[in-house]
Amino acid sequence: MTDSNPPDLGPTDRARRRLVRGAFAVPAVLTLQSGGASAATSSAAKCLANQNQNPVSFAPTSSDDSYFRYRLWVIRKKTDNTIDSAWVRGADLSVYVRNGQMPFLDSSSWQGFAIASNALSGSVITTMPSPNGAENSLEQTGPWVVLRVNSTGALVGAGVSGSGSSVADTCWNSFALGTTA
Amino acid sequence: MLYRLVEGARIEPLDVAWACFSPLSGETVLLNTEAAAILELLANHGPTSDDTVARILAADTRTDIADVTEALRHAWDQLIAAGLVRTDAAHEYQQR
Repeated sequence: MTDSNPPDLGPTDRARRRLVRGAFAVPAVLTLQSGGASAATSSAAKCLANQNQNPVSFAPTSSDDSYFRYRLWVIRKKTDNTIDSAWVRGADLSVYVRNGQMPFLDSSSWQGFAIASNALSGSVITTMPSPNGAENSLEQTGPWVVLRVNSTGALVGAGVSGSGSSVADTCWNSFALGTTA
Repeated sequence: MLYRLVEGARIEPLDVAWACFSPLSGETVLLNTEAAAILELLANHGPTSDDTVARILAADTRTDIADVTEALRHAWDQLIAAGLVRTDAAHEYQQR
């Protein structure tokens, strides 16, 4: 197939006229099947199930991409800007709760993350990690790591830790659209 | 990088979102208004650079172009994966 003919998009500028002034949300593409919301849920469930049959993991990245990722908190040395330690904050995961399923870390907990091995590390703690010195700071400016999702949409791990699989943003968005917190 | 709309793509409003059919994938996807606006721009302007799309949408919404550029950063991959957009380089290759 070639693209030699003009696109057929119908009357133009309808969407542009709907844009809200003063804000521009991230453009979203959600996978659907015909049949409405119930089909959307079915499609999303199939997407999660298929991905979990062939689990994948991806290395941390310096910026977000088209996979479902989380930005790590880090204790950063202000002297040379290097990362002393990296962390997942449970409270951040609560926004991804669907169907009442608890994520792998509850909202009052933190867990270390070893960037080099792309894995959760150490024990779960319930106090905020301490920067250990005024020259260091705790900030959410670390690498982006994949979150692992099981076939029912529960967050079950990060990086290579835990069961489930990494999923594409479109798969997660489709699932989240058809479910409730 | 120039982006172009795939021939035969169709889009219709669906409540607060937009249903969009791709003739390449044979599937219909749901877009939010921001994603639909990108497709409209490509339909009206033909092959367009990401910088130009960001500039026009920033003007439409009266927001900072840096914010729009950041928001668009991963939209292109998703629109291409959905069979709605192609890079213009790919189009030229197909015409040879």
